[in-house]
Parts: sequence; structure tokens; C-alpha cells
Amino acid sequence: MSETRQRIADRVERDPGIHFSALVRDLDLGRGQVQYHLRRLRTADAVLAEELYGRTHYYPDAFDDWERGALALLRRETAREVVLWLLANGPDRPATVADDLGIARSTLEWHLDNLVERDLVEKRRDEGDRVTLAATRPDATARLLGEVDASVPDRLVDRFARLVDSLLEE
Amino acid sequence: MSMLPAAPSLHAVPPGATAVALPVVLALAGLGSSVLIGLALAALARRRSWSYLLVTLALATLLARTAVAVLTMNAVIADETHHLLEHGLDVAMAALVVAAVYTARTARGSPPEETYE
Repeated sequence: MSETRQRIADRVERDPGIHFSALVRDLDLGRGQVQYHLRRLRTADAVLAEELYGRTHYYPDAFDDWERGALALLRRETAREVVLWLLANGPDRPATVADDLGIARSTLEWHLDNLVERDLVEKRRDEGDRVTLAATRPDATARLLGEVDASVPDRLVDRFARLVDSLLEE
Repeated sequence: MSMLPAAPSLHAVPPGATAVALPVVLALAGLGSSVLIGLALAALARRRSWSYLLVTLALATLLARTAVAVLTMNAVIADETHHLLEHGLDVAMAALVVAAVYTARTARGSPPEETYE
């Protein structure tokens, strides 16, 4: 495998769920170059591509469906905080989570939509038809949290959305 | 029938230190509003809601204001028109922000599936 291709494969291994633009930026390569090598890596099944929530993420082939979805979402700062909160404090009501994290209800609901869809969090209803949030796979999720981090551009967009949500709500 | 002396042209490039400061300020304003628009567009791509679209447009008026100022400095826009445009953009921005808040509240007005108690 060429040196460039190896660099790309290694970077994907180190940062599963990485975006295309992050690869280009961090490895300081041309977009066409990265595209070419990624195509070859995908043909060789060394790298998997998955489009989630409007972006294409690249994974080493070791991760299953659930893990890939989790990794894509755990790159979002607020989603991480929600998941971390539930792991640390156990199941609780949405209002409690939102208030504790200092985010607007609409922010929480939006992130929950994705988290529930990818089966990281579940909404349980009790007899009174009230909702409790819980992490579905605490151990696996905790492990994956260590694998990824939010990039600076991701954080900025995430925080901007939080700000807009809270301004629109009050 | 002009009784009053001709009013000095407001916003024309003034002499001295301000002549240097104004382009710098405009450059910063342009840069800042571009960054904000970038964030707003990225957030809009995620959320895909009317409120976020209106917020993005409101921030676009900020960028437009800077553009109008630059064009006026370069005599592309006349001073009198420049005033009208700037303050027209102010009106637009206020309207867009109000619309964004209204849309957000109305959207939430429909009962959500779970109650937050």
C-alpha cells in the first residue's frame, strides 16, 4: 500500500467516524488525492463509508452498524454531554437532563431524536405516561466515548445551535 | 429654495485617523459576519427548521450592511441611498428576528408527545 494510502488508513483507524474534510485538513493532502485513496481503500474493504445526518463518515472495517452510528453522534459536543450525563447519573426525566446541562428543551429533543434513532438512548414511558431517558448500552457507549472527540468546527456549530435554541425559547 | 447651508455628507470617508480606522472596522465586521453566517448555515443544514432559516437570513443582513458600507466608500452607492439601505436592512433584521422567535414558539405550541413536568 502506498505511503499516502497508509497514512489515510491509519488516520481513520485512530479517529473512527472522521469526516472527509477533517482528513483533508489534518493530513494536509489534496481533496482529489484523498478521494482517490479512499475509493481504493473502500474497494479493498479496509475502510467503510457511511452517510449520517448529512455528512459522510469513514470507519475502519472493525465497527458494526450500531458502533458507527454511535461514533458519528458522539462527535457532537451536546450529544456527548447528554450521553455522559445519563451514564453518570442513571435514567432520569428529560426536564432534569436539560436543566442540569443548561440547554433548551428543543436542543435536547433534537439531539435525542438522533440518539434514539441510533439506539444510544431510549425513552421509557411509565404508567403515568411520563418519559424517562436511559442509555441503552452503557458499557459499549462508555468505551466508544473514549474513541472520538468533537472537532473545533463541530463544537462551534453545536454551541451556535444551543445559543439560538435558548434565545428562541426565552 | 434652499435656506439651509448644504449639510455635510454623512458617512463620507473622513480625513485623518478615522480614514484608516473605518476600513479596518469594515474588514472586521465583514469577517465576523461571514463567520456567523457560516455557523448559521451549518446549523441550518442540521436542524432544517424555519426558525433557523430566519436566523440565518437575519445574520445575512449584517453582512449586507457591511457590503453596503464598502460600496458607499467606493462611491458605487450614493450617500443618500446608503442611508436608506442601511436602515432598511435594520428593519429587515428586526423583522426576521421577530419572525424567527414567533415561528419557534408557534412550532412548539403544538403539544409535544411527551410532557415536560
